[in-house]
Amino acid sequence: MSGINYSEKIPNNVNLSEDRTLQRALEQWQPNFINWWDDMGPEGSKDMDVYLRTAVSVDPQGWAQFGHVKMRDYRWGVFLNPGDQERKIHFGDHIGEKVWQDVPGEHRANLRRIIVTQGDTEPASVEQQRHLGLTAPSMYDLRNLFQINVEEGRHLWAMVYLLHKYFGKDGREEADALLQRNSGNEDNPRILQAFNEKTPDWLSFFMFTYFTDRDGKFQLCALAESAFDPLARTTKFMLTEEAHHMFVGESGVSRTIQRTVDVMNQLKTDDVAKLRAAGVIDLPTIQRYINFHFSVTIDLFGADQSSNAATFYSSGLKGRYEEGKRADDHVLKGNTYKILAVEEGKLIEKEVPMLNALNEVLRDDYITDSKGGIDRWNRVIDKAGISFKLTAPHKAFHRNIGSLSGSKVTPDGRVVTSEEWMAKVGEWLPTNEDRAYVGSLMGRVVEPGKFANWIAPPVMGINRQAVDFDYVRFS
Amino acid sequence: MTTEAVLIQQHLIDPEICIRCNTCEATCPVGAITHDSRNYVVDADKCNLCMACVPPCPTGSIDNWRSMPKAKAYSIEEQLTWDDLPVALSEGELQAMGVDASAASVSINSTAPATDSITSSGRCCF
Repeated sequence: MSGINYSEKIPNNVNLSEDRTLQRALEQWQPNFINWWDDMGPEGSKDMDVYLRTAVSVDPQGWAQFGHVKMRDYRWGVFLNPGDQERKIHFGDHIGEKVWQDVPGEHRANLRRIIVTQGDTEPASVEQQRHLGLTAPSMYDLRNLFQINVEEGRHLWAMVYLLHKYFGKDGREEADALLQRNSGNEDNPRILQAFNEKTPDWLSFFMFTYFTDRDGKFQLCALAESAFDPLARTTKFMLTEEAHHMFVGESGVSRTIQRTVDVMNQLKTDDVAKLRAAGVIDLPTIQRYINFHFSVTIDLFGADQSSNAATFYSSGLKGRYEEGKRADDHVLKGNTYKILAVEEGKLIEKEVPMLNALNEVLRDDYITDSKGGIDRWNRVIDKAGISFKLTAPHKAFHRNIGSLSGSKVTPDGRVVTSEEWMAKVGEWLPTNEDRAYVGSLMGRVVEPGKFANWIAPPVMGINRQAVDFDYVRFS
Repeated sequence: MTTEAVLIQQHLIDPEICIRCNTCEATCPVGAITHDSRNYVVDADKCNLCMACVPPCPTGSIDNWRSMPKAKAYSIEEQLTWDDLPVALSEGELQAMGVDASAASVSINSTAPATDSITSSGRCCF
């Protein structure tokens, strides 16, 4: 990579062409990244030209440049949102002080841990999704999958930039390790368990991008409040790209529902067997997928009481969602928050210090946001005149982290015995049969403007292109 | 020209397509976009039609426009209740409200999209 034009090859606004230290670190890392992309990136995509959005600057005109490119040649860039010289820390013990342009020694280990944990999820999801291109329900969807993949790659670059720039030798080693761990690898797995699960089919992919990428949104929003200004500015820009990922999830599930209700009306039936015979995904199965992805994702916010969360907040490393819009003192020393627990076979609320419950605060904000999309999916069902309502399961359902871990709670919030759980879990979570059925629908459709039988077309194309535009060109 | 007679191109967000990602609100340089738990909406009094919010929108829902008499522009409160966009007013309806749609004078600023750059479906085509 030596002798290259950095601004051209790696679009950036971090003065890369003048920063020899950063150049040297990236020269070492970039070939390993390309090797990782070749080995673990989208399968069978090497010769495809994909209509992708590339960010070449952070202003509204520059961050969304569209054109057909080979993904291997995608210009992964390094961008920070524009800075504010006057920006002050606006929460925690350092409130009112100037934000940090370098990493304070006392917060080095925690900041590195936060950045590595966030960074690890980015390549993990590319690995989880690498086989999906082989079963894309349309060329439009194939393009959207690849857009997500390259942007997760760019988010990895964003975190690697911070590690290289601000964490010296430790940072370089951590950046290397981000390419060495692999999703689902028994010996060297990804850090968070949800990122070691398979994404076996497109309904799972849409659920993942709706629910799990939304966790990404909330984590990035909390980090965008950080007193460490380069982290705040980096994550702020990442959020713009993350929005597309959630769009793919929300519209993907919505289109799946649309097709199902259309067939329900054509056949005048809600009989699952008849709908499956017609090749669409019945609404109860969609509900079970929601239950699974919602519950697995809310675990990602961590334990409901966490001294780490309190430390991260008080020291200014990580704020709350929309910290600046909240009307409290932003220090939270005397505040309390209600969390859930199971006592004597019943769900109860416990009041605990808010600082220790900040994971729960973020989880609750996430839940509110997630429910909005479920309401919009219900409007599709309503409009079709069908009486069925999708719901988010209870917060205590199917939890494996925190004080609710291992409790047997139904989707409507009833504590049950292990026996009842075992007897009914097939009504609440996708069964092997459900997954096998959904898997059986996954055949590749890539003729422009054509869609698999189980999903409706989108209402509009990407970047004002037609729905039947050739989003992917095969060589 | 009276206030009633001023025609504007009101910038609206399609609630049926919008995913509430907040990108537009974060991008808007004049703070014209706001939201509640239901909808993202544009304040016609603040929006200067600079278009900064259009490319970053992942869904295309941001790119909707309605010819409206300025005094009858849809309020934020009204937009927050919508499940879908209102039908565009016909020339006859606009004339009945005291504005000449064919005159197409846009009163907000010089960078605003001209009326003739907006299709009959209410989507901008530039």
